[in-house]
Amino acid sequence: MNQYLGSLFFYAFSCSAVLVYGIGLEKAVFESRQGSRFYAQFPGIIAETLASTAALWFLITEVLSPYGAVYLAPMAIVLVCGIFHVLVSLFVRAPKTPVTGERLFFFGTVFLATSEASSFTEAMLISIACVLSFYIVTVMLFAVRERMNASRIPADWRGTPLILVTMGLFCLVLYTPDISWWFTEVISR
Amino acid sequence: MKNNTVAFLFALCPLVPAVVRLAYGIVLAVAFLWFLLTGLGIRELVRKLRPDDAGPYIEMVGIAASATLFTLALQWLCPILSVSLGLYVYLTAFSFIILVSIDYGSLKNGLFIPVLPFIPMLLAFSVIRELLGFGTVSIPTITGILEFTVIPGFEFWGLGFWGTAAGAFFLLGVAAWLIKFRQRKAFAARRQA
Repeated sequence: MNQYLGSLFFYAFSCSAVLVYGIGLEKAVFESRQGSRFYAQFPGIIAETLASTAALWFLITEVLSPYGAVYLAPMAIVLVCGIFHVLVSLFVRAPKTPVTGERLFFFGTVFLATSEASSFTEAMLISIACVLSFYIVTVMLFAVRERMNASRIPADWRGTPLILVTMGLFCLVLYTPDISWWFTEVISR
Repeated sequence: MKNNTVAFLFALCPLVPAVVRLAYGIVLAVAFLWFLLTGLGIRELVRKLRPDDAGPYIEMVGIAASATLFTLALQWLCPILSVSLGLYVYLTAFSFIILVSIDYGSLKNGLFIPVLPFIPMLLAFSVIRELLGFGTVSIPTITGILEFTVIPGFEFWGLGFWGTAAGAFFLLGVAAWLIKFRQRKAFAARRQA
């Protein structure tokens, strides 16, 4: 149980799929703008990610891997994810124009989950952690933008430069529990 | 393309953990060129097939196939580097797609032109990170990487922080600030003239 929780926290925080792997990073930056309804996409994103990871895990481990055709996995991921994306969009209201960033985040999450996991449960947990990581970073960036709008910042630093520097700070902050004496020594006892 | 600078910076983001050395930057730059060549062919094929809504998916499957071919070639030519880079070759394919469709339209509206100026930027970023993070410059070889020490005594006073993902984001932030500063100055000069 602890091992699974560890995987979830590892990919959601200390080795954030968004900040360390860059999966969905540009989507998080765009979605953190005012007027975005990123939270409304959550049911659709989580449903298609979990369904695709489950389907692909069995396809890769039971079909492609035994026949030595693992090199076909990336194409299979795009195809299966595409099918689930279309299926989910039938039930969840989707944007009128197809959004490349959304598809890339979805493909990347499934790709990371199927390539890094050692078991089916771990693959599902990595998928959930990636989606969580995306929402955590998006909410934090949304807060940073709000703060930036209310502050007097030099014009050249406003927007992308400060967002990138802030993401560097997020990287450090999210990694802190892994190396902090307080977490490793005091809380574990 | 709405803003090339932003597109470049965000296309670089998926590669932040990988472009910590020039050797990796060179391999990923070659991957970018390969995706550009195959991407043009795949787009032409998609245009002839006229698959309507399925077009972007067919194009992405094609790019995934070209990433797989590149990975197989890398395993054959530089087996150690292919292990080090692992899934980053596939993340380079994502980065390529971000670059050609950052305007949030479909791949149909994307342009291939920004890929070429992106390659020198990728190489420059990896050189700066390697110099600041390790004090060396490296090139890819069959047996891994070949390092040349540029800043002697780096292990005593160097700051490895710039080689980390957090350090890379700081560097990207400073780069974005410099670009914005230069653009504002150029705009002001044009207005005065």
